[in-house]
Amino acid sequence: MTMKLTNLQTTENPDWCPGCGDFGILMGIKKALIALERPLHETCIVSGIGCSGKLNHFVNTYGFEGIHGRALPLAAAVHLANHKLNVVAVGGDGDGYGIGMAHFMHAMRRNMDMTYIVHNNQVYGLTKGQYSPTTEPGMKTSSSPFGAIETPVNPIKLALASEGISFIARGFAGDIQFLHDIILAGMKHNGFALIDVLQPCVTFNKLNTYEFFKSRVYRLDEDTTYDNTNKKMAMERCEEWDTRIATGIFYQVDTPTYEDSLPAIAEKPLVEHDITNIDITPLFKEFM
Amino acid sequence: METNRFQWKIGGEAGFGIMTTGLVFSRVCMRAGLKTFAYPEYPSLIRGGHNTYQVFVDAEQASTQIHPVHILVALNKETITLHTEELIDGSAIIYDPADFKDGLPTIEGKQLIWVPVPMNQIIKEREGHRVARNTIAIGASLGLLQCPWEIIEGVISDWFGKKKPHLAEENVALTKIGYDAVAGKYATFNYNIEARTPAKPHMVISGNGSIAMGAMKAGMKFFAAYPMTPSSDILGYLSRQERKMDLVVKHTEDEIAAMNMIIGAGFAGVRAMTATSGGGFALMGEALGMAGLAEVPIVVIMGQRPGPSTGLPTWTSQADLRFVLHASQGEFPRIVLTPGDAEECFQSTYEAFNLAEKYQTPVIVVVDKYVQESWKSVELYEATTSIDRGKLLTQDELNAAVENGAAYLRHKYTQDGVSPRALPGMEHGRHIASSYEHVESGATTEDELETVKQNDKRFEKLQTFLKTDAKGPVFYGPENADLTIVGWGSTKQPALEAVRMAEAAGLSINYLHFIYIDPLPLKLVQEALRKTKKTLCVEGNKLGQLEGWVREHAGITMSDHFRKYGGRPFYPEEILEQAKKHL
Repeated sequence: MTMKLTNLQTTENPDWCPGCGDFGILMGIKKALIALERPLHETCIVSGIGCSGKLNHFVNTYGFEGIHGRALPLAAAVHLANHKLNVVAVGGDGDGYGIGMAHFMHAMRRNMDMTYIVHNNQVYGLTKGQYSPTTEPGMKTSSSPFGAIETPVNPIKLALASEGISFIARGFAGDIQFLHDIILAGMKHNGFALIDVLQPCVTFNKLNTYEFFKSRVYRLDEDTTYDNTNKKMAMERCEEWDTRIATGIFYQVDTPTYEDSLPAIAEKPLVEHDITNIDITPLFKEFM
Repeated sequence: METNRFQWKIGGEAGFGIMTTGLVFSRVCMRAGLKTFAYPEYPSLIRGGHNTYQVFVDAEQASTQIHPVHILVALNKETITLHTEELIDGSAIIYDPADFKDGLPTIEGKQLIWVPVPMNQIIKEREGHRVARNTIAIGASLGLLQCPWEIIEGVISDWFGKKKPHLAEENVALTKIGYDAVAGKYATFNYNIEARTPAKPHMVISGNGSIAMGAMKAGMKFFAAYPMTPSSDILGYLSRQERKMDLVVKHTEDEIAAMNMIIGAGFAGVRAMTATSGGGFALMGEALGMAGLAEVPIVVIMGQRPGPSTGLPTWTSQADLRFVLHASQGEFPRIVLTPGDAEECFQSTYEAFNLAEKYQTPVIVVVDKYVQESWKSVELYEATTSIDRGKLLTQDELNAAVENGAAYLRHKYTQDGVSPRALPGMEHGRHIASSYEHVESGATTEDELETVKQNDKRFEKLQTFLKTDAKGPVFYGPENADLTIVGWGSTKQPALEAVRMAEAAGLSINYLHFIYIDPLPLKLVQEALRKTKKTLCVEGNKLGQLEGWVREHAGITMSDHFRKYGGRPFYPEEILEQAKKHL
């Protein structure tokens, strides 16, 4: 039986602003889940807090809406507890690149088999429009009335500089078809997949609008000269911003995952271990 | 001759191998059929600084360190000057004359037995490592105590043989040199060991080791932590067992990650634990409340050391009880246990996992440096109850529920407050766990009535716990005593000896020990306290945290209290002294 979008519907309806880029991401994820052809109870979507954090309330899989910035450690352990699941973490730029930045850096080092989708709208939406770690310098927001001073985080560049992560991509919420392709590739990829999604905030970001992105984005897979196993090339493309902005898979390699080095889960997921009568008596000798 | 009751202490700089020496000494006494309690003190540094390790040995019960030191092994001069006060008439000091070229310190008013052993010279002759001085010192100490040589030889061979067999041979030889240098030569030394055959086999283990074993026996499969004294050894020990015991042990980037990880694992159906101290627990606070709200079973080991802030990192304290009882914003049910010795560390940790799953809420086991890093001889551990996973659904049960036409509701209202639990990966059980207030399904709500109902449902679980699993405080010592010492956690260790000393002195004193702190089993607490005449609440903090908690909830005021908050544990002698004042 082919899955339909209605199978993914929950009892809750999105309460995002009309026109929010999050709708595009939600649709991208739903379409990717349909294309993945796995039973919905085998997927778990873990989120932090923010507009992005609400997403898993609107997809009928397993989910966990955690606390601000902590989606990654929460998701990592869901994965380690049951690595047969398709684990997807979602977060925002404040959530993931601000308060949760430390977890992001370490999640990349570990290269666990999970997908991380960041709703990057370059502003704090739910708290009413403060500047975020990806806000462009000079942008005036409620917490930067004289213009943001800090240099923004370039998530793709940061990921490329990290050793360990094996899938680095960028999507655009205004290009759902391509976003769905990227998300599906990320879910299928064996390793940690970062998908940074350019997502216009129609209420608080008057600079990085749909129009801003539509006039700049292009697809890397349409560029025949681009080699996504070439980190140097990826480094160059991720620097583009003012005139054109690349979307697609910047970098993808097949490297060992964290769980490859865990004998405890080599045969079956941790959750399937029988714990009814564990013998600890062999441990005593060391102390006798 | 005082047989089978004495205290041995070794002192020197960090890096001298003092910790290992203390353990080896404990083990010899344990194999001689005696009870042992070993307590280390050390500053927060890797090399240098003054370290000590003391072992109290007794034929019947060794639950604590005591004040007098009967054998002092001084690996440097400082050890003698710092511990003179603990020496009594007839105490022996084992030392190397080479360390005292300017002469021995004069200690007036005490009849001491000086036992010179040329440890440095022996090592030089045998081209041994400086650390091997300890081995000679162990030999000399046990020679002085007339311990049968075969027992010592067996322990030394096993200890070093597990690493490198040739080391075992050399260390046995060094121990024998120390033993022979002293044995039979000090007729005035009045303490000895007479080996006995214990009824049951024993082991010498720390509180931390006991916690780790309790967790593994309980089926903990996921452990995530960030190192912090005094809980770091749990991470170290579990890491070593990771492959043998099929665990996933994660040293995380910080305590926030550790806490969030065990919540993720708990949600996914794996028994999970973290271990930390006050500073780390502060970072875990926000996620702790999420586990309470989302009803995820987790176990947290909270090892106290003196605060505030960095405080005294390697010393002991009981000043974080209130912090644990109130940690995280809002109100949610938590179960707080305070085991008092190594055996209770094993049992409480084991039990914590059953309680966490039965009541789908965080269980916090509060311990401290004193119980975590002291080593005790104990009978081999056995679980006294079986694994109970509470209302965890099987796939068949979930299928049956769906056939009846019922949608799965993760936070379903039930009589006992506990809702049946489905795990990610199970068919028909899809739901969202959430840090937001929610309705039965897990969907977000801001409705006033639903909010109240879900709060009530969560707290109903504690009523169920109080009716079925909570246990009251336990008396040790004589019934209807003239005075009752009241304590929680590691206070049990010195309190038990204080009760014993009181009995020997013909005084009527007993001890009332609290393990179940939150929710406080009110009726049982009131019942126990009604059986007391005078009470002396003994705890390691300034503000009387348990004393206030009992007054607040049970409406009972203790007659008096004795508090310490300088980083040092209680000694039985000082508890007894305080008790006498109130008799």
